[in-house]
Amino acid sequence: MRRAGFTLIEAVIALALIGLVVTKLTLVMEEARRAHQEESVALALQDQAMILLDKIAYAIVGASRQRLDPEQLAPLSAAEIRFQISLGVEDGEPVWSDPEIIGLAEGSGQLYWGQNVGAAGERVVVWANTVSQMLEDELLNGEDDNGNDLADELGLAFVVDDKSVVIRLTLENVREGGERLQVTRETTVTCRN
Amino acid sequence: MKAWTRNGDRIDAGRRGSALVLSLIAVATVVVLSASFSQFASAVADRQAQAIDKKQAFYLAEAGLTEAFAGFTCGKSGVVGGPEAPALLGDGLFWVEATELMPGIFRLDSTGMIGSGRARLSLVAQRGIDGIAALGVFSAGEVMVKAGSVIDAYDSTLGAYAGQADKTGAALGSNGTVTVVGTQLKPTTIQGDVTPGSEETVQVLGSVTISGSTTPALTTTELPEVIVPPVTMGAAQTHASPYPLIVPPGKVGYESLTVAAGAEVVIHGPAQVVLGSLTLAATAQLTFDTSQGPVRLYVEESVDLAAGSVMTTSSTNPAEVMFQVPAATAQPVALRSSGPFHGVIYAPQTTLLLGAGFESFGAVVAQAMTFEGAAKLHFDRNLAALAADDVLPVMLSWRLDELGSLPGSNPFDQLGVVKGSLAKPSLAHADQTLSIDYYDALNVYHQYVGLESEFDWSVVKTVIFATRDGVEVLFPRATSTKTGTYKSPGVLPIVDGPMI
Repeated sequence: MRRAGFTLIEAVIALALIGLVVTKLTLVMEEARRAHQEESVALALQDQAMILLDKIAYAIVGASRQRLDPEQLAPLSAAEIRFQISLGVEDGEPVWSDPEIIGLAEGSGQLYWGQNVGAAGERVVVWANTVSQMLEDELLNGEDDNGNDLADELGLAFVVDDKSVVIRLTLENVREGGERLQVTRETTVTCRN
Repeated sequence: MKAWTRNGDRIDAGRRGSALVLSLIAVATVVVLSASFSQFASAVADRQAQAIDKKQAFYLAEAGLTEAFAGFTCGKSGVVGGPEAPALLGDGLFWVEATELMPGIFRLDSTGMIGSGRARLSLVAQRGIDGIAALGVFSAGEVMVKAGSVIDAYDSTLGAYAGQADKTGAALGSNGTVTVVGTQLKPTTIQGDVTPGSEETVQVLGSVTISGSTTPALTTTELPEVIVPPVTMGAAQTHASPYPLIVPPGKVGYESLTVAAGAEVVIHGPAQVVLGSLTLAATAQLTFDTSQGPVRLYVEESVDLAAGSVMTTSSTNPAEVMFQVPAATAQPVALRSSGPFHGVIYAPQTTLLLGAGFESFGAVVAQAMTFEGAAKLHFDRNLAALAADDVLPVMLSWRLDELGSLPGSNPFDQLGVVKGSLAKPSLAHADQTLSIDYYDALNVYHQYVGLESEFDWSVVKTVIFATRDGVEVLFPRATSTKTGTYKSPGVLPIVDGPMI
């Protein structure tokens, strides 16, 4: 005689197995989604860091060494740099741009470029909002925590040495769960004028 | 409706394929996430590739500027290739255009392209100048050095003149005849070369010692004109106060400056001072204070420094003071003051009258020179080294004009050029008319006038004189003197035709 349907035990086992499979699938999908998001955020942060560093470098490459301020030698660094770039020559004399500045607004994580700041014709443009308060692995304790010969450097740090400017930048983003993701990039620009 | 299981049992239709559906949902989710990440990663990779192309284009444009500037130092035009025939460098290309902004000042515009990147940089450069200070003591006209004169040399970088044992390396030159007179009581000593004009001679009368060569120059030395900087001229100044009159740093001009007996004027550098005339009465003093920068003094009409007046400098570096008289003056420029004066005196259109008490450390170059008494001229060999630097062009400005990218583009297609047909940078310089006097490997004197592309530089051992498109090709002088390459070969040159 043929049985119709399942026994209770069979049904329970089947449901348990289905539950297990669904749970596993959910976990896999969640893992995939999380990995996707993490990788996307990391990639975006790296991309942004590279673009920002290039942007800063191209902005100050036309500056004159004599028109860079401040002059900071390691272990000192500055979170802003003031400069003027050459616009050409008139009557045999170089013509310089209005004073420009690139800096980090402390507390807000904003990296900004400005021209004529505090004077007539002021222009300020925010280039990024994701700059870390301190450079990666650095603490505000008067010491060089991250082994880059700088002490207490902020998330954007300029070191001017002769005609070169070393730029260090750390961007950060907060992952789900509050975990911070940081990307640090460094480049050196030689002022051409 | 019922469905059949594999073993022939039937099950409910509502439960058919539920595992497949779940699997499909999972796979679809993963596929969508992967596709979205892949698309995002691809966009990031594209952006990064464009950034790299831009950077490479930037460096290509810099390479173009460097190539053009290097040509500029050799008297070339600065033009390298063009959009229709750019120079090939690696997988990219560049070309440089040159525009003359004002006499001697050029703007070089360099465009570099590679992949999707394109960059344009500009550089403004000033051609080098023939450092006249390297001529030492030079008169375009005939010159007679009187008995008791001392013309020697020292090196200001080694300290004061008095403390130096090596006084050789002086240069006394002229485009005409040079006459040197000495007596038993007042012998004349020249510690270096005496170079008369081409086909002229050095006449020595009496007790004279010349340690160097007296061979004539090959060519006539042209004295470049003085360009007076534009300065707003103030009213005439007559200073008679016991307190010094301070001329501040910067650009300053006076219709005239007269310093009365016992008064003093101090010119503080860095300054460019233009005067209509300059008069120092006896016991008046003119001081050049170069502690903060050099002083360039231009006197346009007349100079009269009376005997007993003092013209002195705060520094012992002659390169820091330049006293120039740009135009011809009605009366000779009278330098009867005492010193010590460390500087360069340059008067290409007029006559200098050097008083018996005048002593100069540096260089003195003029259209003509008259010595009222024994000359005491001490040439600074360091000026020759500085003059060698002056010959090189100077960068006045560098600018990033454009930096961009055009995704999917190819510079060769954009410009319509074939990669294989493009010249390498060193061969892409614009062709020019070259006029050159030179010695070949056998020391035979040659002349060539024609396109530079048809000239074989490998046959040249020593260049005597050269121009490109009429512009003199300046070569750093190896020494302060016109010895060696600048001496006359004494024979007529062989005139070369085109050589390929």
